[in-house]
Amino acid sequence: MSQVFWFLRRLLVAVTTVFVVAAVNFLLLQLPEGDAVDVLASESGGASPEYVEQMKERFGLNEPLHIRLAMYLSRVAVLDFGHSFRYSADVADLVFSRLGPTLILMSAALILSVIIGVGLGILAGVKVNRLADTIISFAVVVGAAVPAFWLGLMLVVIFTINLGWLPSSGMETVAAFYTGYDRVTDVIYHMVLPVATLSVYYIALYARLMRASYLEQAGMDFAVTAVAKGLPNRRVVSHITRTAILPVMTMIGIQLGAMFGGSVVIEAVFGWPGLGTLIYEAIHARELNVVMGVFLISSILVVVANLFVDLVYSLVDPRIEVSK
Amino acid sequence: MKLTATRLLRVGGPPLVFGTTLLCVVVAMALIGPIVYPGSPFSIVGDPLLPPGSSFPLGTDILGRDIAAGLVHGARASLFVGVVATLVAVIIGTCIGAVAGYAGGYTDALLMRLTEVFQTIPAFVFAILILAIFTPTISNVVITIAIISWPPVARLVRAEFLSLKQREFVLAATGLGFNRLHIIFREMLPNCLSPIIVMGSLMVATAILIESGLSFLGLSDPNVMSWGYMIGAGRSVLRSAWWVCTIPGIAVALSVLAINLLGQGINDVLNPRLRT
Repeated sequence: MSQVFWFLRRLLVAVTTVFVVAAVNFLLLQLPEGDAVDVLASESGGASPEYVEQMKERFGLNEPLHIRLAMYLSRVAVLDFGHSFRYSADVADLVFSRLGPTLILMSAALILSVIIGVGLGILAGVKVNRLADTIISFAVVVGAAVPAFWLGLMLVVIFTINLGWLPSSGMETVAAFYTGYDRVTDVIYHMVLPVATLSVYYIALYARLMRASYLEQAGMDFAVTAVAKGLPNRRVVSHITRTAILPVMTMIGIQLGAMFGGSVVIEAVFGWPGLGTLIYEAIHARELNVVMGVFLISSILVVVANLFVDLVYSLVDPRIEVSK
Repeated sequence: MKLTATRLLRVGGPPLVFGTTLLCVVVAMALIGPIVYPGSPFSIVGDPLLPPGSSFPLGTDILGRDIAAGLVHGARASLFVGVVATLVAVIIGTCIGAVAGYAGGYTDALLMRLTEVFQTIPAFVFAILILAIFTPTISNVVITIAIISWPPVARLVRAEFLSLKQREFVLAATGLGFNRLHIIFREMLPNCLSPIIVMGSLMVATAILIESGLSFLGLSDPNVMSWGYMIGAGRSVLRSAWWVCTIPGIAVALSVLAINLLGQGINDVLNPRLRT
């Protein structure tokens, strides 16, 4: 029962987060010189005086601040982020149309980095202070230091320009009009470089966390007992791994937002047609509406994903409410 | 445990020596560089896209600017942004964490919910939004990176304060009638400095990475040469002149590596029990 309350509390936090994000968005637009409409109009490359008047009317700029905030939040609640001049489309529609590719890229990178990262972390933990551990630990330090966008460009130099093995931009060969199975293969082919680039930093991160967590659990009484009573090595490792992986799972949840930020730069490098490329184009076109839309939608995305992690977590680990 | 140079070297071992040496090179580059390359790194000095080793040791970029000059001036920008943004973030985080941990109750709950919100949102996208609204001057970049980096510090300081609050010396200070500011800043804070120092040193590396990412996307001060900007500007000639992108990227990676190794070394000295 208390788990239900715990989850309801998390749900409340999630809703508050989205609310605060929207309010911060609103307040940011109040800070620069002039009002929101002036900013939006000038940033989008000029608008007619009639349009500015109409926007001012719509935003209710003569109302006091708290009324305007309420109006803004009620528009956000129905996903009304305004209009994009450059794309001549509704910002909400635009953002949602780009959501799919980003989700594909992120989930592929997430699965890859969790499997490889956790695996390397366990290996380093088992072989602590031996050659394998030294190599993995060194690779982890280097992997965490390399800027991902630069790594992406270097992979393009090697695998696209010099070797000609892999495509360097886009999500599919549009001109080829592939369908069905061919199309899937084509997309996977385009995914290799961006997914590998995005994964490197997170493989390093998860490997480091998993190694530390594994070593911590390996010193616990249950692990010592397992070794002492002569369990085969494989069983001992699986005992320790099962408890050691929990804190890593929490970190993966917390890191989702950061990973989304990372995918923005990677998408800009590889021209992956997702939210990252959209925000990159929007910065250069000075389309604040779009930037704000991407920020809001991605925040909601991360909050929902975190909520999902919490839900799974509370089902898997009954101790969760005790630690709260 | 006191943090001295000899202890640091003895405990840290080869990785720390390597990291420290590397960092010294980067710092020296930032300090001496402008003497060797006194002109603006934006000035056009030769033919565009000369390969390294010609009359310019690292070649020239797409407009004929000297890459070596850009590199040393970029070192200044990266270190400045990394260090100052981290200082600001540590100050914000420490204040929020200290108040939350010391006060407890509703203040604590409120501040921690705020921290959670800032930790959950996609920080990099938030930084993009702030810099897209305000002009990306170097001080705005510093403030923006600080705004997205403080939450882990706040959580750390709060946790430290929660455990310190129960200790006798704090109760004694309370009993002796010291005011709250004295207890927080003079009694409790000095006792949790070492984890803050460790976290701060590692945050400098992250801040440099964030700065390079932002300037790669074009969100950097147009009057300040930075490594990320150089990589971004060289992107379009990747096919014909790979070195324009490659060289500044190596500089970023080596600086971040150096700071991470140094931070890890400081951690090993200050928390010997946590060594693995």
